[in-house]
Amino acid sequence: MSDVTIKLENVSKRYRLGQSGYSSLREDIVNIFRKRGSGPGPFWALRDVSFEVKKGEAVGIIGYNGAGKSTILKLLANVTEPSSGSVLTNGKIGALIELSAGFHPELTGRENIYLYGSIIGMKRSYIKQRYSEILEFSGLKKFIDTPIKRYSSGMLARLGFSVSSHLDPDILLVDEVLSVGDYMFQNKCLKKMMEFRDTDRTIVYVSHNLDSVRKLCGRAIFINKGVSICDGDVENSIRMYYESMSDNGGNAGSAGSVTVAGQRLTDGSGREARTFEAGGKALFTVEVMFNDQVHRAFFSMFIRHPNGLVVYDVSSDLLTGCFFVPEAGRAVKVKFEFEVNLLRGVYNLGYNIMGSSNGGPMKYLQYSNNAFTFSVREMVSQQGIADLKANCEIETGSPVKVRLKV
Amino acid sequence: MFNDIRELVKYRELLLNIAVREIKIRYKQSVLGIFWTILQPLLMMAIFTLIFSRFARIPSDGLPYPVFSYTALLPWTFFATSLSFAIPSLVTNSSLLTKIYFPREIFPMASILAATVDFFIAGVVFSVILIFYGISVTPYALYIIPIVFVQVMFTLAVALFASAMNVYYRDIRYALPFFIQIWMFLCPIIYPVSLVPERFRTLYMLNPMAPIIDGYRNVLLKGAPPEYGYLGIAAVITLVMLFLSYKYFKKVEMSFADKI
Repeated sequence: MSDVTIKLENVSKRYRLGQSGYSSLREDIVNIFRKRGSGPGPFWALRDVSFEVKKGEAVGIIGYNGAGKSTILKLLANVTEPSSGSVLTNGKIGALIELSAGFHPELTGRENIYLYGSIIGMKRSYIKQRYSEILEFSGLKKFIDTPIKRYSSGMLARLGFSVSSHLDPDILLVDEVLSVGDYMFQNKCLKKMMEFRDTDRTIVYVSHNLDSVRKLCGRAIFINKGVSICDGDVENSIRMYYESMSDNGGNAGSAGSVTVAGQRLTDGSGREARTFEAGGKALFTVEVMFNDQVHRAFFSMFIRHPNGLVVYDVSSDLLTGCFFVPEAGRAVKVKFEFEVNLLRGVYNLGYNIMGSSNGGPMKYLQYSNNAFTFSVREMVSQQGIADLKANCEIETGSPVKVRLKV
Repeated sequence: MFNDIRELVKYRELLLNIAVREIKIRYKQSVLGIFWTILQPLLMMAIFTLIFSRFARIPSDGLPYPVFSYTALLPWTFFATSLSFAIPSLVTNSSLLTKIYFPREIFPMASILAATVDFFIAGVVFSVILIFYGISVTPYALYIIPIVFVQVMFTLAVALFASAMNVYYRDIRYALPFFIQIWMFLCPIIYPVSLVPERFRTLYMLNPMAPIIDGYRNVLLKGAPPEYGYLGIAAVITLVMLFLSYKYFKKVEMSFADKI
């Protein structure tokens, strides 16, 4: 049991809704005369959440804003207490928080390193000893004696992370710290956290940057409305997260006049697949029955990036050059074949069917925001969403001799 | 309670750093910087002398009125400055409070610690004034050490209680300047204790700040011992209050993050 560093047992956390948390004396005096229990009911930030984290594990916590992710971190950081249940942590806790919280704008970078360091629990002597290392990591040597009110937000993030990444706890709590800072620095931070993970310590990582969760964590917990929905494999939790997105958006389902008889997503060899190689073939098939007489109809299929961006949207009328006329009561099978020219990541595939009867306006007959969630594997590390199959050639007009230094 | 104190000792470096931060900020933002600290009580002294001595003819126990009032302003300014920084301190630092664990009393304490620097500077100015007026100090002046101790502890007691209350009732912050103003008139700052009618004297002295301020005048200006009885009572009241307000503070501490 000694390798369990975090243990949450049936943890619930309730907040009272209404006038933020604090009140004015007047309100309290008024409330004495009012019946108890009036006003808005309680809000459950967490409901009966249980999980364990072992030493050396990096766990990602994902979910929407307000799902309860930060509440978990607060409980772990011992900043607040659960309304019921128990939270046990075993080891020294370090929190990598929203970075500017400990800073003061009037103080210089150097002063802030010491101040912030001591806030997150470092000894002065320890900071002194690691000072040059911290400075090196931040890359802010030139500005270190400038008041940080002159820093950009990216520079602040650098400064903050540089200090906190030199923290040496047994359990590291990370709350959405990579959202600021440029790409290079984000990678640097991630690398640092991976190093930390590999030294057999525990990380709890909260982020909306799912790619970083994927890189850092071996396990992810998807939380929705205070309830732990899925706990386990990262891809699985991420998929659940995406699928719930379409629940929230409305999986309109049957519009009454069509019935979906079946839908399949298969790879080039015709096997049902949810993971595709970049550049491979994919086939999306949907079979529907039109219950009513429809005079013109078309299908469209779209692929969406997790952040909501539509990567690709195509419809049958454009591809085939015509609408089709389904026969009431008979199944129609539609196939969309496409190349997965996407880069690594998770995507949603959705489709809709539109139709009109008797020359009326086109109406949605079926709308499925997220029929499938699939992930794309890719060997070459490229960034972005689409694979544009770039080539690279380097031409030199006149050869220039360069002396190579070894 | 002992565990809480032990925890606090563990975090002494943070306490110091936060206090240093407060001091630095206070002096960095203003042009005159440290001169404000010197100027402020001196100006108060000048105004008090003009209004209460020249115009209102308030007696000052035969002491030069400027010295008389400045002496009282030493502990009073410390008390008032400490409170005005300590009481909102938890709310001002809410972004830290909701994210990182450490003993929360560090914030009000740091405010008091920062005010100590002002207090010290004002003390240096005070000795210059003493020399200027040719007032010689007697060995009784050593009594200032326990008096300052009671003064700091009393300030801490009020600060802990009121800063925690301020998390729940934001009214406190707005009421504070008003409250301090009234309290000031309840203390022997612009007038001597001897002006308070005999039959109200004991009641009057139950306000710990009264015997503290009176003690300053006795031991520093008059070369006399403090009024042991009143000061003793003030010390007892202070200790009881400190105990209770620290207990209260620690009791509600864990819900700060939820309330802020």
